[in-house]
Amino acid sequence: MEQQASTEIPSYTPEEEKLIIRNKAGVPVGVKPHVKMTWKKILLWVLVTALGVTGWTILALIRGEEVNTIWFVITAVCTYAIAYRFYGLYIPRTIMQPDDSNATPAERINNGKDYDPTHRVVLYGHHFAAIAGAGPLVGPVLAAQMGYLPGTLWIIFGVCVAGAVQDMLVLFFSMRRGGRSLGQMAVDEIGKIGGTVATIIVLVMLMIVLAVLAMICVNALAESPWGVFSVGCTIPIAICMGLWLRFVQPGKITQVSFVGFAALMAVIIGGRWVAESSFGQQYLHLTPTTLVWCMVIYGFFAAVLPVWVLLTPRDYLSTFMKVGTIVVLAVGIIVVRPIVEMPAVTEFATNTDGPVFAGTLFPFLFITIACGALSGMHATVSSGTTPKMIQKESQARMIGYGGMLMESFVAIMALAAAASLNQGIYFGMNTSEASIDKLAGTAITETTDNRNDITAEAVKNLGVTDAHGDTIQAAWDSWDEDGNDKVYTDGEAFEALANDVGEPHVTSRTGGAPTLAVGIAHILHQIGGGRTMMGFWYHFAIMFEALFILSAVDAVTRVARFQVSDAFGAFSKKFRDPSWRPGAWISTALVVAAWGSLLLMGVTDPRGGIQTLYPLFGIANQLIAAVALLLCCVMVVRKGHAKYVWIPAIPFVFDTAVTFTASWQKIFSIDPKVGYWQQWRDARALRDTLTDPEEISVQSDIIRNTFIQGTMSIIFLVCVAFVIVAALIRIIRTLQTKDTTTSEEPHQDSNFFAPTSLFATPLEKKLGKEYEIVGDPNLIPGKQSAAVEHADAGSR
Amino acid sequence: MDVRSKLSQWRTLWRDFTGESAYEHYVARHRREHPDHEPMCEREFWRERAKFDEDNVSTGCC
Repeated sequence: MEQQASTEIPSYTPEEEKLIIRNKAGVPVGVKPHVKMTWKKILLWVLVTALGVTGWTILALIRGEEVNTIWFVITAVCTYAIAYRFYGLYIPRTIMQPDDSNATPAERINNGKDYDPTHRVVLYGHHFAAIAGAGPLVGPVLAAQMGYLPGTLWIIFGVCVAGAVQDMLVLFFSMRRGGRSLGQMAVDEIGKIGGTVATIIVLVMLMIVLAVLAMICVNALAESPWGVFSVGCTIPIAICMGLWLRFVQPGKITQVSFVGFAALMAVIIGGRWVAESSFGQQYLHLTPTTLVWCMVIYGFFAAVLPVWVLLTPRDYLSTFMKVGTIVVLAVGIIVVRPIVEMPAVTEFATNTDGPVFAGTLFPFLFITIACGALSGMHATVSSGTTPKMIQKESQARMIGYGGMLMESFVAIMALAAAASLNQGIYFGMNTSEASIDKLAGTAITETTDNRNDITAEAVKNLGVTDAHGDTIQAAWDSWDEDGNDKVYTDGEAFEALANDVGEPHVTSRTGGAPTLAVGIAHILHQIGGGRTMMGFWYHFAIMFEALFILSAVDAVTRVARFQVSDAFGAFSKKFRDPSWRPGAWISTALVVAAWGSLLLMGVTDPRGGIQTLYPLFGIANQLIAAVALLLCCVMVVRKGHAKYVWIPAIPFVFDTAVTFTASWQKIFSIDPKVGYWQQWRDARALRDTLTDPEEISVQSDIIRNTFIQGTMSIIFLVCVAFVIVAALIRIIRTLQTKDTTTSEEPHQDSNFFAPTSLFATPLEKKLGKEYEIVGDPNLIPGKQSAAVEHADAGSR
Repeated sequence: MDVRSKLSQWRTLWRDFTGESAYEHYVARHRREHPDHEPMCEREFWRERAKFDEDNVSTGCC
């Protein structure tokens, strides 16, 4: 039956035939872009717009009423749909002009390894798994100190005009250049010096990113035996999976991952018991500094061990958790529909008193929420990895733009989870101990040692009000001993919360990860397990974030190690040989030392590392985005589309304004909460007046840390300014000479057909059938295994 | 399209996503391009793949 059907070439109407792109041999390779607006479609878009506008009205304008978090989801999805449908089509039409008769790198090289034409749905999954990590989860949580509205606006509109545009353009331009990396493209387009500076600066920024990510993980696990046990167990579990896949059942990835996942769940459940045992009490209460050393040792070994031991199997676990948790969280928000507890905008949006991160809304909101709205790191994934696997040029929109919209959606869900928490709890968890002590005042710190009570007093003095304009107060819905509902307030609230999630304490757990975990547990225990499962869900969420971070730590350490080896290769040829072990160890040790020392500095910072180091992380990430967007501008101009250069230029100008203002304030501000050098001067002045050696050493730490942070801010700013000037010179020169010689690879006739979007249109389905008959069997998905079966049958 | 073929389609996607189907793809390709000699066995193939991944780590971040 099927055999017969598949030998018949479908027939096309004349209108359809006009839309089909065929190569010289007459094989269909694509469909010309065409949009037919029917009445039904127009009506659908009117409805989507109406729903989106309603959502925005409820989120932005309605005050004093209870807002349901479901509106975050509805508003986001409607806005994304409109942006994807209209702006996401406008950009390809004007500046990218994808040509499906041109073969992509995957089709040209097709080596079955890194250059491999991959089904668009699979590639979307890979691309999303590569770009999404801890960033979009943590940033929105921290930004919630300004209320939910500023973050929501930036996440949703930022992604549509900035983040998704950057990802799609970088992906497309890299694809047209054989999958070249961001650094290589910078050298090609801007010139050798500018490009090299860009490459080095990206490497240094990666170290900051790793340090901050690792610090988030350390803060979440410090003094948490349950967390240390369950996250620590991921290492032996991954190693067992790696050994099994190597020696027992090579290739059985799904089975082994399911077993690994089940083991993860088991250690999360068993974690409470281990934490409460004498072993847990004695050996798993780790201080932040101990955890830093654990991270450093782990990072070193993960990067020098063969990939199959730890890195590959842990990536399987991490991907499982990533996809699983995001789906569960989406279901949770839709089913539970918690009420928003936070006001739309708080006092911290306009002053610099915010305890989570210092600084005003502009520019600091836009660097705190980096990933989720615009992330420079994505440019490194969008160039290099994904473009080598894409099947058709026209799929760049679905993978690049669509992938980033999904990441933004994750960020919105994280924001919704944080916004559904009580504000007192939120600030109590996210304010460092030093700030808490200062806020509570000596009258309280001298009378009690109970951190819960001190914190409860401190949040009242924050100078922030709730949605009704009243002073905030910590409150937590829980249960009393008899199982009856009870609302605990003030110090008891923190205690009840800590008991519910199975932690020794929850106050001053900065970094965003514990807050998000509480938010997730708060939502998910209502659909799965009730009160007894609260601890499970909390540690499930911590595990989910820790896995992301550990994956990033070892992958980035490994990649940075190659770059360091390359650089050394200029002096000693031995370093160029990747199999020379001492070279690998020395380079890895250097990389680990770089981020490890930053991490140690952040964790031991007397004023709380997140508050001081996180801005540097955000600035670094957004500066990379600025470089990537500028590179897009250069390539657009050199392509001869100067008229449309505003598409990447708008986000570039905005991002440059944000990063340069933020850097400027970090360097020159005389507000001691914001400016690194003002903090440095104050600490030096204060140290000279002190006599107590302990207090002197605290000030010395502050002096050292602010000096390093201030210096890094200056170096970043100067280097990026240099790259921008070099690029602008290039743009002006191109406009003068009208030289649009492109660095794109020459056209090569494609011999491959695949649909453009997620769902194939009826015409694409017909063409797919034709292609299965007339196309190149090397490229037909699914045909290969069928061919094997035929060959097997034939040989028998 | 019946339920069964839909399910097998999803299975193919899933196996491509996890990378489990890599060996089958390799064998099919090898038979087509080098029918004169036998492909690597599954164990050998995965070792080669691990060796390749050693120098080709893809970063995921943020």
